[in-house]
Amino acid sequence: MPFLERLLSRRSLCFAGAGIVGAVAAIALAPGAATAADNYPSRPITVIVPYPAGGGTDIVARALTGLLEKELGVPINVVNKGGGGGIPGQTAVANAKPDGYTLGVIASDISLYKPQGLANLTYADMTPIGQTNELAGGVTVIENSPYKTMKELADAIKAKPGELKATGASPGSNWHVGFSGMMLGLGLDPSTVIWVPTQGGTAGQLDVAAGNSTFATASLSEASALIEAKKLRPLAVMAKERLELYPDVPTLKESLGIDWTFALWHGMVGPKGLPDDIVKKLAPAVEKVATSEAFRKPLRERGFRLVYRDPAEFRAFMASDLSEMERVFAALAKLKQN
Amino acid sequence: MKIGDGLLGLIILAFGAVVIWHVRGFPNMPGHYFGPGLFPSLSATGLIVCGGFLLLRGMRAAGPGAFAFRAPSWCGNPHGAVSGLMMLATILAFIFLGEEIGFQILGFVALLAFYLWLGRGPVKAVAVAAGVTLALDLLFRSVLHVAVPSGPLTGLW
Amino acid sequence: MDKFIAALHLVMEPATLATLVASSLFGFAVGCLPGLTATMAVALLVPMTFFMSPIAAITSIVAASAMAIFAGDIPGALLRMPGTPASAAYVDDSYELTKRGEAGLVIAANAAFSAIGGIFGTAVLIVAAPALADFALDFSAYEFFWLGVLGLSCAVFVAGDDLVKGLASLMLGLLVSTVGMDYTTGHPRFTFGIVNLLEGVSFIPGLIGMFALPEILRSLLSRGEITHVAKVTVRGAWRKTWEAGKRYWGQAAGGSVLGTIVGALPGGGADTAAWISYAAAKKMSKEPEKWGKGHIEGIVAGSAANNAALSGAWIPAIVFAIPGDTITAIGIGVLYLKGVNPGPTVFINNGELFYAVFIIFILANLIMFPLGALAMRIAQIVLRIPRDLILPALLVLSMTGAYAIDSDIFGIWILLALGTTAYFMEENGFPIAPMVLGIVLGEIVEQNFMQALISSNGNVLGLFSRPIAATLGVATIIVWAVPLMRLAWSRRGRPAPASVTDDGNRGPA
Repeated sequence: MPFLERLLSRRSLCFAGAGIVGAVAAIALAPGAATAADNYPSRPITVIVPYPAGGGTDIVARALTGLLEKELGVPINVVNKGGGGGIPGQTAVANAKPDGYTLGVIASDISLYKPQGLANLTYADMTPIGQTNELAGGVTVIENSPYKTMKELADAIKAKPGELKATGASPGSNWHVGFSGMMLGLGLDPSTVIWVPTQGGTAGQLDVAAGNSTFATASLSEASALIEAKKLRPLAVMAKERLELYPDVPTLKESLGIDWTFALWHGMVGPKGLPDDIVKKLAPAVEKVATSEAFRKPLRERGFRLVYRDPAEFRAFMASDLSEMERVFAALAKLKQN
Repeated sequence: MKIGDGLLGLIILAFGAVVIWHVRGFPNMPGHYFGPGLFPSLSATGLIVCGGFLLLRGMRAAGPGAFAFRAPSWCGNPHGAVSGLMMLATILAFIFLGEEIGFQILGFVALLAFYLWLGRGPVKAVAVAAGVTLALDLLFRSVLHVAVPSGPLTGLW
Repeated sequence: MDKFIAALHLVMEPATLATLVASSLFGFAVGCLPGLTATMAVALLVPMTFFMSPIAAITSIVAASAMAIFAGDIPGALLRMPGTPASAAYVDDSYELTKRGEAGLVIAANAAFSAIGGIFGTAVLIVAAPALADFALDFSAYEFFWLGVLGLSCAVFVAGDDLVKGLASLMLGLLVSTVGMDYTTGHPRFTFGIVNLLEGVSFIPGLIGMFALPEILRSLLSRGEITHVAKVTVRGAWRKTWEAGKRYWGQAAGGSVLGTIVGALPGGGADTAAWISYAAAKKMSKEPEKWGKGHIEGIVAGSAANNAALSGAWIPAIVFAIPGDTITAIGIGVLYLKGVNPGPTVFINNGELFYAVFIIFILANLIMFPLGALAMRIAQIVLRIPRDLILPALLVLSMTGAYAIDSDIFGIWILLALGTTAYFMEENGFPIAPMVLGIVLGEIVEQNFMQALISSNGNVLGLFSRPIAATLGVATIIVWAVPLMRLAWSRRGRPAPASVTDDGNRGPA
């Protein structure tokens, strides 16, 4: 049966082909063992961004890595591993081989997974290398709103439960947590304000500008042009100090006397167990870039606060961020029960 | 595989019903009569209506075909059927082995197998399979800096 | 005028022109590859913009994205694999024309009408950006909801011959779009514990799966039956395009206008623009029966619309720093990076630069003509490759593309699942286009629906509470009422069609 013969010969060829490939692979892999931390980095580095191209984290990551390439002298490939609320991407960073050739730029969402039971992933699964920036939440209303100050808005929230509408994120994610924390700080139940879910802060600011929601709790930078165009009015920022770009906008402490602050943050990390000598090589390079004008100027113009934290400070910061989020979600869960 | 309209209608109807049944377990928003299940149940209702129409159509036609399967076209064509199975195997191989052995090896082996099966001579098959794999790999990784499933051969060239 | 001349000087710098050409070629390559989107092309350029002058940096973004959207049409025409989602609306028409040997015409028309749409959008951007941006600002969830539903109504027109099966396909698409974490409560829907599904079914792998996989499978199963595609006639392609332009100038104009408007509305984007424009043109067409079977009319309308949308998206981006789509989101980032802060005063503070950007927009759209000619060359080569060599390569390329968007094997699962579904649907006479439309628009419709319902405390009549929303709502109801009444009317007299028919036995192949 010639057909079978042909098939057989093809099949053996097929195996032969695979065999050759396997042999090549074996030879090529052999010298891999010799690499050590001394000559790190000696080949291209992959940086995982757990969000799609074009988002805030992606912009920070590409700005950072573009300059970091020059510092480290090797190419850096940015890989967007988006989707799933950042969980698959951040998990991929955590599970990568800790050899310094796979790093990640992560965002504050990592503090939100465990408190909500979405995933068992926390900062402890990462090796911090350096925090680069923060983006503080704010409170904005439409320009012709009857509420001229944060105090007036807060009084209205108290006086008219169930009537005002707030927006800026989908429930349980960033700016909604900022809102919930503010309400808890005021001693109010967050559910007395209707939360209008939007996809991201810019969409929330738009919803306020279109005259639907009463106020948004997203960052002022997501409203900067709308504020400049006198479509929106900023009432407060959720930071410890006033923002450089908006020196006239008071903090929550100044306007309401509450201590609540809330900010998104970004930073570079490696997988858990990244050797110390590699961190010692990476951290100064990241610090140099993250504190350089080339990196800071464009981000500052967008309203980011440039905060550099070294590995130890970054770890402490992420730990306190997580416990703060756990506190907020526990308080929310308690309110729901009652 | 072709299925008569009546049976198709039944399948769609059943699928819509299962979705609605599943969605009923979704929580409503506090203080509202609606929640995350609203939009899926609207879509599923649409499916049920469409399924109903198809079922009616099948019943009215009343011919023997309305509720019948028809043998798929590849049944009389074993060569084609094997090609189809090879396609499925290739996709599954990429899914389960992609991040273990990488695009470079998998792509080459898959292409080689296909070319041999589709009747190309061994020399040409090896050459084209290697060429296509290499070209795609270089294009994606080196020129465009886009990731491909990586394995032991990744980054050697 | 001084500003214009200063702008011209900026553009004519060799570095700027070189950037224009290089990033055009880059965008072209990315657009041609299924799975790599225009957004990705732009994101990949960001690190390079650090080392460019402001004008060159913006040039690279504008040129690469415009070219990627145009180039996305090419694999759609040659292989039924839309290179970017924006080309999905008219992919069947393109592919059918190619099988008739008209690949030259399709590519020339894609290039020409993409350029026309892009230039029209730019003209609107120059003349009316502030006014249009103000108008776009009045749109809230209520308006976007109706706009989305109006977009879904397009399904009625793209449904093909069998309305019931078309609508079933649409509903399935809507259901697919609801997979993932719910917006209003964070409740995971239909994810069955799979984390990768939390953010929904990734669209790009799904798109590749739905269009490319059934086509590859059909060709493999019926080897011998499908032989070579007809020869490509490149000669006379531009002349035929000119004739198509003369005949369908209304469709080109309509596509450009609709595209610009949809693009200018935040959340609109080039994909939606192409679908709406394609469906609207079909509705107005004198020969709707030819659509989907290789008719150039829809290609004219759709090609013009998606590139017009790209230009239109810059309107809210430049005036209010509001990204209309992910491309402008990155564009805004680059503007800040270069110290050109978008905002209402940008035309005063950075006049020259922006006039220069507009000139770049126009130049980038003109480059589509030579690249169109290049694409025809490529088409001749690709179509000459024997099918048995190209089919396995396409399969591997599909999987690479499905992986690339999120660098995740899960994309290949989606490719397999939706591809298999699409294959069975087409075998049984269900059109795929409405399902794709449902996935594209489902999220927009649902989010805005829920947002509006929550805002009005659950009152459905609230959807009509704002003037623009009420107008759009009434229009939508009319669009739906007419064909449904007609369907009900025609059902009374005539017997139902036979069940298993022998025509169209392999879908649109």
